Amino acid sequence: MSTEEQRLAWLLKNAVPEPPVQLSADEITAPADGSSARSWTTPSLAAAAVVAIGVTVGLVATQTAGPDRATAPLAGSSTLGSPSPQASATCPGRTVIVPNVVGQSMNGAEAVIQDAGLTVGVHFGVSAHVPPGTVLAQSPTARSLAVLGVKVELEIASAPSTSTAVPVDPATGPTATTPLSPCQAAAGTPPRATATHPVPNVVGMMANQAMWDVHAAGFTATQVITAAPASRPVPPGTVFAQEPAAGSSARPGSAMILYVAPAS
Amino acid sequence: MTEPADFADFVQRRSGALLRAAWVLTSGDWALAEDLAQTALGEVWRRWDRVAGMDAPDAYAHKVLVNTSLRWRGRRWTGEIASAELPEYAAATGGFQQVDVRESLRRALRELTAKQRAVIMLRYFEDRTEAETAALMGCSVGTVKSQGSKALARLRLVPGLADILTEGTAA
Repeated sequence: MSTEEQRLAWLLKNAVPEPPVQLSADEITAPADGSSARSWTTPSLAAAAVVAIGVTVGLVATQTAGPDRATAPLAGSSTLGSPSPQASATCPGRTVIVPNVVGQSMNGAEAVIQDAGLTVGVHFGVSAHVPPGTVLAQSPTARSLAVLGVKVELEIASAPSTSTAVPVDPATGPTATTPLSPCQAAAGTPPRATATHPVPNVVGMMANQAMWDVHAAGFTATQVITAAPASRPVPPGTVFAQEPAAGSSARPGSAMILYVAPAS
Repeated sequence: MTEPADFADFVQRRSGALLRAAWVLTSGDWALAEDLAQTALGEVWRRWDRVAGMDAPDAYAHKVLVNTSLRWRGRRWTGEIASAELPEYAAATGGFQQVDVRESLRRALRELTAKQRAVIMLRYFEDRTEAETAALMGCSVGTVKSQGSKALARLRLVPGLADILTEGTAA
């Protein structure tokens, strides 16, 4: 090496600064939700997404919606919808597409997931609308990409409960807006906490009183102001339906939905 | 099966060296360097099953780093970076000579092509032999030699660097 080359080597070693950041393996193995996530959300995911996000985010305390809601496509997802997932894309490592097991029996779902090379985590929740032993929700959701061996968390319906049917247009209900991450390289998200709190009955109350009772019972609530069904006239400003149903159990701190008749 | 723990360990050990190498390859732009190192590690992770069993996973990572930067030729950082700042002179910067040298180096690296930067980085920053450099870049030893000497010739012309290279009086 010439003197000049030696000097250049010396210069490089001394002048190149220490990095201001350190890379983390997490960022590399689990690309963040973002632009890439969008293209993975397809309308066909929507049914599972509504149920799964509703549960995992805790908007609705482990309560599946009626048949209307379960099949209704997400308003947002049809615009986001673009090509179907492909196994190549941006997920590093060997990946598989997470199968859809929502609605299946627990044993069947376990077999399907294990066949796909993934592992299963089981949690129990309450649902008014599906028989016990049925998978209510899964995380990662169906058709996400997951690295082999990742744990798919399943929420299984454990006990039936009585329900107040909610005669409301699904479009007025809360909808999940977060696009699903295509790569769940680490693991699925287990449902937050076990459903232990009894849900109070606030149907027939004025909205303010109902909110008060809901908070006193350890829940939060969102009011949906919407016309009551014609078959069941209710006084203005009163709660005519609620989710979850009175008497069922839900996670402490989770949000109830109160359907309130318009004030006048 | 994947071995995320090993990979995390690997990233932690190599992150610094890869970032500094990427700094040279990207002419001293930390944002791009981070981007590059991350992309390279993403490639490594994709093949981690095989890479983990290699004798020198580090060398593989550096190979991917260099080749990624060469592939990205024509992308963002190969273009000349216009700067409104006038070059600063050593006299004006007083005690900040280290920073001044770094700025000269950065400017010098921008004068080079992506390939020349790769040669400079591997030969003089990582002290690899011409044969190793050629193997990592997937080109011939002759190319390494010619690119290296072209790069040196160019660096000699960069103000602030010429003195250092000819006299060795940097900081």
